Amino acid sequence: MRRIKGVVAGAAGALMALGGLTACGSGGSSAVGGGASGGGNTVTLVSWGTNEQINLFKTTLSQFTQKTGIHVNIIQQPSNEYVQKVDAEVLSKTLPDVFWCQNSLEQELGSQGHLYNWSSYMSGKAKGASSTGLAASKFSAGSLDLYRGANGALYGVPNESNTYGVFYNADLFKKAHVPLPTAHWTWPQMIADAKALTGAVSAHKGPGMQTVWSLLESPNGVSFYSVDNGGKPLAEPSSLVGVKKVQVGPKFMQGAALLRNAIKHGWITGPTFTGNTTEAEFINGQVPMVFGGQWIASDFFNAKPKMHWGYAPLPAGTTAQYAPAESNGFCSPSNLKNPLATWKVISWMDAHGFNYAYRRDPIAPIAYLPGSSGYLAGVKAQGGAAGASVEATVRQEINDKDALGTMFLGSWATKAGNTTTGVWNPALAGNKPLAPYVSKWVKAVNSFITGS
Amino acid sequence: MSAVALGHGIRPARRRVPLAHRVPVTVSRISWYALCTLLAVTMLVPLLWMVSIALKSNDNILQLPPKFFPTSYVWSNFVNGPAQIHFPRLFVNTVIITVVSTAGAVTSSMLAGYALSRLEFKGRKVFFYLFTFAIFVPSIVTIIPIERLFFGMGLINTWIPLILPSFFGNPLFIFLARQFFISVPHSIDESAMMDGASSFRIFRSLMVPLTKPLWITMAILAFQMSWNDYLSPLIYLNSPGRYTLSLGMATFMGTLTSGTTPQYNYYMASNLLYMIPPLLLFFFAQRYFMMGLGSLGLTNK
Repeated sequence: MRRIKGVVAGAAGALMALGGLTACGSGGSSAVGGGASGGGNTVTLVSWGTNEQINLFKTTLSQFTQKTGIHVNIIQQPSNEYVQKVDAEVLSKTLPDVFWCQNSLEQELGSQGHLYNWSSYMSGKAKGASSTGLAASKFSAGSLDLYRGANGALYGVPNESNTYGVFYNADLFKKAHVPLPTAHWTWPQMIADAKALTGAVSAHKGPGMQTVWSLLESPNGVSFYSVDNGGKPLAEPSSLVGVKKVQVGPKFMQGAALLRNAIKHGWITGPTFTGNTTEAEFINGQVPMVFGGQWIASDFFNAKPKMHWGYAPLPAGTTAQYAPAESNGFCSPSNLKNPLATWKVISWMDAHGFNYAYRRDPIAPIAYLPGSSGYLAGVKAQGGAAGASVEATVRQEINDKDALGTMFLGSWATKAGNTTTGVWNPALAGNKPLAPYVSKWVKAVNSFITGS
Repeated sequence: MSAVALGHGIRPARRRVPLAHRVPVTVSRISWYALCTLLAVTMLVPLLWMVSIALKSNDNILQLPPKFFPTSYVWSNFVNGPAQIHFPRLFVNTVIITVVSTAGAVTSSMLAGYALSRLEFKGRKVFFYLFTFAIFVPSIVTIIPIERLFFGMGLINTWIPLILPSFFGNPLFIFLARQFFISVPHSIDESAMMDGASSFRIFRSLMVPLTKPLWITMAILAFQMSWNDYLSPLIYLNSPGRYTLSLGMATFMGTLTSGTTPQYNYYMASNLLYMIPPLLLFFFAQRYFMMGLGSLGLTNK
């Protein structure tokens, strides 16, 4: 018994010593910190991508290394609490050379002076910049503006873009004798289709359209209706960076009323709808129309639904058909030691890397339009009318010259979001009078903007 | 004779029959088993559902209505899923951090609890109240100051921030230990002191064996807290080679601004393997865990 105790005690002591040595040591993978301490021919890149995406990025970046001699250390960071992690890296001055960032995170860090200004590289003026071939003119409409600070500095380089539209069950449309959505269908047609298809599934008897993403019924979503029909946008500039005030006009109120009426009659789901089971229901043929982003398509392709389905773009109005301007980006710390090498990595990823990766795992098109060919080919290769439909809609939206931002990007954005939940949503859901509550919402948001 | 004595018009007082005698044994037994079954089902169904998802193929996951049994059993998910996150390496990392942290937490808390209950020194009560107060301080509040401390010491990307704090005691464990030690008769200390034992000798040779349920309970709780810790490894670790399993599991959850569905089959398969060590620990030590929690209310009479 004593011998056993001795063995256990010895093993425990060895484990503690090992833990102590490993805790203190610098073994294992090399530490991140390229922005503060890296340099030379190694660039550290942090991504929140899935395991599959990271492996694809590694493959394409190894080709980049062979061409340029620049080694890229790619690190996967979980997306859960990503912002907390970046904040910790800012505090400890260990931001990597380049990392994925959301637009809101980029705006926040950029305004605090933590990010590198890529303006001279994007314009080709910095030494060696033009050799990479990344040209500002080839980015989708509005995407570069999303990543400019209020002072005009470019604090990020857009990468993955999002498009929005309506996934539809073609079999249910045919059964209900409703024509399929087209590339330039209109807002009234979308609402009419939702009405016609409400209760179309006998076992389900639900709304004709479910919204799994809140954009459509948000103030920013209604802004699309307004500009499509010759009215003013909710705020300017169109990128929603550096907004000074929000405003609503007659066309905006018309759009809000159209959606409110549809929600009240149960043709589309309301602004508080969470849609936790919507994807599964659509795959199983129980939901005629689903409003959401193109990334949902990958779930539908993986699930191989038995029905015929397609993807239609955001509807058109009487004068225009605006597309969403929304993308993630590459950001770098302000004390970046090797900007040229980092710029080469960013350029490679935007121009070639995503083409390789997203041809094999199509998630999102790229704001740099030549970098989207891989994604579009990948989506089309999923096969059938569905693949072609998603490809056509995404291609249409990313090439659209008219684009509008989809989310507020200021320090007041969180408060505006809370006010949307408390004031706007009940009005759009039909529980409160529309005009007075929209006016109340506008007043509240303008006070946040002024006070920020 | 009075009417009362003859029993006319007055009912005799009823004797209260205990509930156990009023309700037939069969009914009571059936009710008890029904309740236990309901609780067991509530606990076990999510676990069984995890196994079901882990064995499904990609196109089988989002079925509606959901089916419990997969159409085809994909056992390779238990290999391919963990392989995606380099499970063996992360497992070893997590075991090292957890075991060392657990040892640190239990040792420091036992020592502090013993000192608070057995040693006389100035400010003993104040310390006890401070520790008790610290139980109610949410850990999230202390994240930023502790972060700054470790970053200032240059300990970013090491395991030290994950392990070192445990060696400074856990307020809850110190409270539990102090309460437990109070229940041990002082006569034990006194007779050991008469034999020439020091306080540390008494602690090591007498108190530790006597309080086995206590420190096993602490070990189970400390193990679970460290095994499941996500935020600290996220903040302090930058190199994937040093990540823990909690970070590895989080990488299944898809990208940030899109709602891409995670690969649930791989995720559940890896999660089941992730759950095994704390489950095994609890199964082997549950007797002491129950004893540890149950003994807390005892006092030395």
